[in-house]
Amino acid sequence: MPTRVSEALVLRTYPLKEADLVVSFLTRDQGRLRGVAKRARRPKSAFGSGLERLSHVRMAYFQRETRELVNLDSCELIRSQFGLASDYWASVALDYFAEVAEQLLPSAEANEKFFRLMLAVLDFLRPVGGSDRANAGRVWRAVTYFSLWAVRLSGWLPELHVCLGCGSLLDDPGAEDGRPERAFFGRGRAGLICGHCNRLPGSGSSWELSAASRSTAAEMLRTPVAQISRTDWDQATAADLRRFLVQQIEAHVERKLVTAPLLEQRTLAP
Amino acid sequence: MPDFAEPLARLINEFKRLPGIGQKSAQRLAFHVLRASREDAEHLAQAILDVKDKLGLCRVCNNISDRELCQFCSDTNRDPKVVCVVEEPHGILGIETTRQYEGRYHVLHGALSPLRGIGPDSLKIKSLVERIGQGGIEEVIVATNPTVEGEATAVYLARLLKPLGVKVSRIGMGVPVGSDLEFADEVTISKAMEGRREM
Repeated sequence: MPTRVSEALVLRTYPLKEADLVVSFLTRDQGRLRGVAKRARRPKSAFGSGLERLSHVRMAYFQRETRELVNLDSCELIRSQFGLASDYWASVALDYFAEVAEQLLPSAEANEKFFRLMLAVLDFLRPVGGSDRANAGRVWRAVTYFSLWAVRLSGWLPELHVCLGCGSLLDDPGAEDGRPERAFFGRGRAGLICGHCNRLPGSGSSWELSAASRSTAAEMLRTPVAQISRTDWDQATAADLRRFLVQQIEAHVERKLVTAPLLEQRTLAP
Repeated sequence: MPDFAEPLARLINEFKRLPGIGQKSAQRLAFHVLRASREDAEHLAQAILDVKDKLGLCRVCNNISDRELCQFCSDTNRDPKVVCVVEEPHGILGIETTRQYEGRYHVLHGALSPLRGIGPDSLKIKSLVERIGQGGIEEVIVATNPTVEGEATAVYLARLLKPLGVKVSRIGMGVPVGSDLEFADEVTISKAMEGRREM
């Protein structure tokens, strides 16, 4: 009998020996774990398609306190993402989710909210047979929502309406011209700065985070991904917000994400 | 690690760099080489050097070859109108064991995997498109692995190649011969149902 059965999402697999796999997976109750799946690459493996990227499974495994790697016994498929492979860009988005989860989450620390976030964006991406344009819109919406909440759940999301430099409000409703202050972000900076602070010497290179993207972020923080009011998303929609969030993630994990640039290269491929 | 003599320690370290080889296996291999005759050791060393010195990629299909054209591209008995696309050169071996396929091949040297930093530009897709552009190819059989990465690659290729006027087909996926339907999961069964054929 296996020691434990956990609901899990498979994040990534690495080949081991002739036919085994090392599997990185995120469980609802135990956090991110790694284990060895013996003979998983053989055609008649007990794991079937359950170890494909972001498969939602019930994973049975043995866990020993003295070992970092658990022994995977079997997995029962709850939901596969195989259908999404027919959309290359959805497939890239799935890789992005898996990479961010693997980089952000510490080992063996339960984070149910993150697990539910991943289920929510995967549910949202389910193929519905819409047009290419509509499917692309879903991918951008899901990626932006996931990035924002991944940063928020990791505790690194700064206030998006306050200047990090001078503390002034960026969306001050009492401003003289009634327009929100311009906001800027840069690599290595933990939050946004106003136009005045951005012009100060030594502020470094920066990009603008538009008021529309800040407003989108605010809505995403209080609304489920499927209920976001704006529906006509494309690559340009909230691109500055995604860039800001990816920079935040990369700054904290201290490495570049390999999937983020591939995702933004979308226009180069069919 | 115990203090082995420097040449032996170096050999163990080199073996440890091979995939799937740990400290114990590396020691076992190193001691095997130590006990082997000088002739056997030279054969091993020469084989490794030959692989690096004499092998390259086939100019047409990117298969590993010791000549400009691999054995499949230079075989005039093979059908040049059908090209089977595989992820890696060893994928060809699997297809050749059937002795039923008589077309030619194209090796991508990987599958699309953003998580591993492999995008379309990292694969030998451009040379496939050029090959089709030269004419004479009527069907492309995509035989990438039945994994998410393999499937994404297949779909990507299909969208890229169909406008060029070639028939693009995908190898069948489903229940392995000798297994039991009871133990197959939903994806495997659904793929088997999709790929069913009239009898």
